[in-house]
Amino acid sequence: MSTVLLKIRRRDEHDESSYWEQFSVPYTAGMTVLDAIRLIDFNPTTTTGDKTAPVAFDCSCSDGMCGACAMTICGRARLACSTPVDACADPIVIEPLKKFPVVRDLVVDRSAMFDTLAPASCSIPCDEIEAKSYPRAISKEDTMEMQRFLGCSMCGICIDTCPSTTERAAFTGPFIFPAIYALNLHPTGKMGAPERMDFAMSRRGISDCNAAKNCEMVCPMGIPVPEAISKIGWLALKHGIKRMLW
Amino acid sequence: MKKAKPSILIIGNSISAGFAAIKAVELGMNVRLLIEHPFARSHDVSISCGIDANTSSDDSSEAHLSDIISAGDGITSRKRTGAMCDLAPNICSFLDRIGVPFDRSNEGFIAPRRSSNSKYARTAYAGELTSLHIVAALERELRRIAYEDGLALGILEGMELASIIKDSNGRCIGATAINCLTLEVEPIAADAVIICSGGYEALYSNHIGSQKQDGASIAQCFIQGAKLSNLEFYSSINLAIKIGGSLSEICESILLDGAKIQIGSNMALDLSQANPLLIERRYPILMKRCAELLKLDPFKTPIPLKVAVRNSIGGISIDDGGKTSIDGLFAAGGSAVSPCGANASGPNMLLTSAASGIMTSKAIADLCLGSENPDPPASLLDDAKVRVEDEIEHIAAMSGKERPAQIDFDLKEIMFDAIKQPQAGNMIQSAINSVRAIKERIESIGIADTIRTANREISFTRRLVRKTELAEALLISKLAREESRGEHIRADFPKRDDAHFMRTSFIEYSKDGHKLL
Repeated sequence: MSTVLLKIRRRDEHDESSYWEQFSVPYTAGMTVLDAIRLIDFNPTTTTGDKTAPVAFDCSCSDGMCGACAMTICGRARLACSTPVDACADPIVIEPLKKFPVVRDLVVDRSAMFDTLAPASCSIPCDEIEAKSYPRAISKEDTMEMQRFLGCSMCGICIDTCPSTTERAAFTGPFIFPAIYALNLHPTGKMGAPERMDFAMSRRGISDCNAAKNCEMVCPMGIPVPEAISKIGWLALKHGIKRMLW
Repeated sequence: MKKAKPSILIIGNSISAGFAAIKAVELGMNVRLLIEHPFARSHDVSISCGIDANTSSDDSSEAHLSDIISAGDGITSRKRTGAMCDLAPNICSFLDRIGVPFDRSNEGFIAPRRSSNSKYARTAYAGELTSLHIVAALERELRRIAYEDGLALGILEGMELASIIKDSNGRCIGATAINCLTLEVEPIAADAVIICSGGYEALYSNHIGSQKQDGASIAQCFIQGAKLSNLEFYSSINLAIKIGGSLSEICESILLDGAKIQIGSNMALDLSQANPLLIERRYPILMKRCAELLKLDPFKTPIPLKVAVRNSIGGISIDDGGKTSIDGLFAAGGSAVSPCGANASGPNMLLTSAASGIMTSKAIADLCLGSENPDPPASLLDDAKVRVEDEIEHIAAMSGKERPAQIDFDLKEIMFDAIKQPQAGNMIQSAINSVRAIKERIESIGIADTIRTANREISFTRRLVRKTELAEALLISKLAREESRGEHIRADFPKRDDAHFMRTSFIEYSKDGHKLL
């Protein structure tokens, strides 16, 4: 294989219809799909010889950590920087993520994910940075749980593959629940647990999750999302009973 | 008119920007945070080392400072690093309080790990994703503050720095920003501006971390009159793996978990002596990369390693409070010159980012709180806006044959060649000439993208123009430092020369060739 064929679904503006363009770029051993897309910038010419605009895409760390380059590659949502070209069909069909508004080409608007963090109380309100504070003990087990469940790169792949996240459903998407669960384990974070549980029990919360468990399979950071959702389910039940009684 | 609270504009989505913003809000200032992407996409997420803080009972701020000074190879800023070491335990404790899951001891307290350059256990560590945890915790905190009090903290998302705005006295009174989605230009007035947009590692082709850390903001301030310092220094690691066209860092702590580096022409990481269960539990991302991308079993086949640039050390020249040579303009984190000296370990660089953000906001509060802050004249803001718009139109109309991506690639190769092996003066001079030739090639770029929405090419070309200026300044600084210090190694001057060069270098922008001071 001396060249890689890329078939890219393009869209010039948010409200315009999409069209396909095909590019051929030189192959090097071990290259990733992101490397291949970047090569288009060197000579933005389609396989039919037409000069065109370079493909718009998001990327930052190229390292699988920042989640920026999430896109649909050969029908599956994944990070372009962590997908080897060798593992893809020929031609490599590349589309933007499907459940987010397309800004242009492969760039999608994922701001809704970040806008959900604060309303879901997904933070631990802090005092002053330099406040004198005594170290709080957290058990090794809880820390390992937190390390397992925090570390979401906000790539949006779980939302893209979740059958419960649709335009008509209020479901926030799986990404937020591991963080909600992990922050509830933190000694200061526990104080915000009632608000987080209220969110988890709201229309945007876990009740719409159908436990398809796609999120766990596709998460680039390997976060066991369904486990977090099921644990929150039990906590939410206890929280609901408390709310009724007090 | 006297405003109730000073307003500050913080530029960048780095750890230093996060700390600067939180501290500034805490001190009662109105903060505007200008970010191109959310913090989760920050260049800082790829750093997999922990953060250094003298938290254990046998350790002290003095011992920490002494380790930084010995790594700094003689040119450490003692006052600033001393303050940084004093702040370190507070930073670590703050991160712990906002939910960064640092490793714990059996008693449940933070269990720091020993880092390679210290005899003390000092590195607070939360696994391979330490930086990601830190960045995510800061982002959650910042979004909460902005949600609760939009006046205290406003997050301007999808905006990139275009230029700083100066008044007739040369004081910085704000900045212009380009909306990355529409290419519209917006001037933003502020009593102080902090540049926190990271370093310039991406000037080299063999860097780890984000492509966005190309130093374009540093170069913009340079062109507008800010002095730069110590550009010739950088810190590198030999624990990098090549994945496709990029390099990724392996966390240094793997060496404490039984991994060995095989030195030779083909450097590799040998895990055959390590406990597979421990390694698989602590380094899941590395294991995944080995299986899916490198296609090897790391316990049978050594992982091939590369040497990579991890951090740039130089940056915008600042005083002890983070103020640059332009009044009203401040710099922190990777954008500012590192106070640690000619070299620093990864965990100390991370600490520098956090501490410099805090220290800068405190310095601004001391200067601005309670003082008269008149609104800048609207004409100044409009003029700055028009200048940026004109430049965008000029670039959009470029119709030459050169591709910006190709020029950028060639520039990075020139820069990498300049550090790949110790170079003599004549080789560095020839690299300077090559960068000047690149500057000429930029004139004949052709812009293929005619659509304004999310147009990367125009913005990339703007950055490229600035990057070449920075690259030239870097090489001039390198040529002038006729000694070997830190990782700046000269073939013709292989020894450290304290009599002449035990000092920070300064360089100033000039159209006819940058001037060393």
